[in-house]
Amino acid sequence: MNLFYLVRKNVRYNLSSCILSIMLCSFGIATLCLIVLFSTQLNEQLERKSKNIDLVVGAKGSPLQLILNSVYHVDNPTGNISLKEAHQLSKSPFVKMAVPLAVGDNYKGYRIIGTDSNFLRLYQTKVARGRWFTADFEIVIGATVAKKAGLQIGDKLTSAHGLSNNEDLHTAHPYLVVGILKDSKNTPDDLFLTALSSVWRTHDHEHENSDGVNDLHHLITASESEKEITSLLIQYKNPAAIAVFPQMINKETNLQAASPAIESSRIFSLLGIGFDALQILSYLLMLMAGGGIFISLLNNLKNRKYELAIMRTMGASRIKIFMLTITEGAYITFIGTVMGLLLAHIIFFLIITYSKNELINPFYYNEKEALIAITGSLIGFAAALLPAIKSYSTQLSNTLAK
Amino acid sequence: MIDVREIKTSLLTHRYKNGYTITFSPLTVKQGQHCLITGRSGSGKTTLLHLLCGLLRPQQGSVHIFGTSIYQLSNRALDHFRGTSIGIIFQKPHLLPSLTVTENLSLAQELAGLKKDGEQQQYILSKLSILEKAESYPTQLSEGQAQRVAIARALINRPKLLVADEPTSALDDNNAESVLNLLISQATDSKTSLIIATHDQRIKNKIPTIYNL
Repeated sequence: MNLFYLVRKNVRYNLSSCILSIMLCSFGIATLCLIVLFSTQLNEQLERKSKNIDLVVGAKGSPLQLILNSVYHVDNPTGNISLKEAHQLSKSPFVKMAVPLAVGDNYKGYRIIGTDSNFLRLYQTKVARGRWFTADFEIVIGATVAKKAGLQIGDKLTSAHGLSNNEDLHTAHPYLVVGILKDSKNTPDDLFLTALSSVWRTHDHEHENSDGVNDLHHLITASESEKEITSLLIQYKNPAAIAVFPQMINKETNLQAASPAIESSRIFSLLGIGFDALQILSYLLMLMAGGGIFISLLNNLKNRKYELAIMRTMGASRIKIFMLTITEGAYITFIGTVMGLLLAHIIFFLIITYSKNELINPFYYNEKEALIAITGSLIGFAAALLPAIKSYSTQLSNTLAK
Repeated sequence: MIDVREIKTSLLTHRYKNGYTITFSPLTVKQGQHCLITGRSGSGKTTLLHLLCGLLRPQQGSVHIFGTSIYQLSNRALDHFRGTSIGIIFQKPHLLPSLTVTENLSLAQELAGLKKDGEQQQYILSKLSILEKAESYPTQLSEGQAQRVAIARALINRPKLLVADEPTSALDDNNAESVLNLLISQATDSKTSLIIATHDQRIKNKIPTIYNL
């Protein structure tokens, strides 16, 4: 019968007074763990998705919006830029690679992007099955969308206008799936890729049928005079470009250059305030758990003084009695910690199931969790310290004589 | 002269926190002998017992238990000596409520640094006729049963000295009688010295040797 067995039996015996501490501790740990899991995964996602992109050039407007639209594929475009201007920029000596994007249509909520084969090089991915598109209205699809939308090579699909709705279908121009991309765990997984000209032709055709009424929702228009794209993703040739190139674009052209690194850190710092608030809450919860353990151990000590003294008379050393109390505190927080970590992952799993968000993975494990677990147990240790010292220094004879 | 077959104290003094000093005249109890410490309450019975068991260091004097001068031992060694050689029974049983009867006995064995001995447990419990309560928790026992478990716990390590502080004062006549008979018979069987501190008149006619305070 070791110390640990005694502690376990004792916690079970005093379960009603321990349960509040365990719950407080587990909620604190769960909150902290959720913050850590969510913020690290978000950060990783933000970083991975913008990894090879040094600069995004698009129409004037909010730089954050431009990045959200062209790098993370969530917001609306800022407007269009002319293909001619984009071409000129991509010939600049600072530019190693430039990938045009034409955004504007969707299939069941997944974006259809008009682009060229540089897109694959930029994201360092390749076609896993089938082939890259060579003609208009051929489409290559990301691994995730292929699975989710249940599309195979040879399937035909009708795109819808806009970025999310399913109402305004381009029935005149169905796309033919010719290839499926490798699972890259990155942006291309959730996209449909097609030639720029397919996007222009889809919308040209509509213009012919729209009786000249200008549709406000038209994000991509291709007039006869000038072809337009949404944005240009740029990879620099050398680091020196960082200082010169964006400024040059912002000053000398009517285009806007935005850096994904700067904008993603802005997104993160905006969210950071929320994270900080939650973090303070979780520390408070854990502090309360610590206080709860402290009080319940101190109370227990009052009731158990005699028991502990009798254990001393049976040969237990002072240090053993000290360890007994310390272990009890640490054990209570350990249970709370384990429950908290489990709770965090379950909550994560529920969030993902309900929101169908693939951004975060519930089974993802972060080494910081081990740190959280240690911190949790340390709180128990600290809370138990004073009661343990008190039990250590109890005068045997005085206690037993009462 | 130190005799390894007896418990012997010199003149012992203890100073209470309030400054009051109490002195106990020398006491000798032979191996297997039974002795009663009597006196009105507040006369220092418990203090003397604690001095005898190594729970309270005297200001002056020494305690020899079968040849060992217990207050010359280190704290740790004294804890061990107490665990293995002295069985102590208190006014109330004070069993650990979270452990079963057998577990309480195992705890006594292991805290003394000995191996858990199931056979010895069974033997003691059956001798005290509480074997059927072996797997019960203390809250499921009656006062008398609990006190018998406390005796079993004190006897489990086959101590050479059994000390009881008012073991019967919380019990009714029937239980007091049977607990006392058990204590005496167990001590006699195992040739254990028995020292009982009491002001309970029911005990006085059972033990001839009396040390009066």
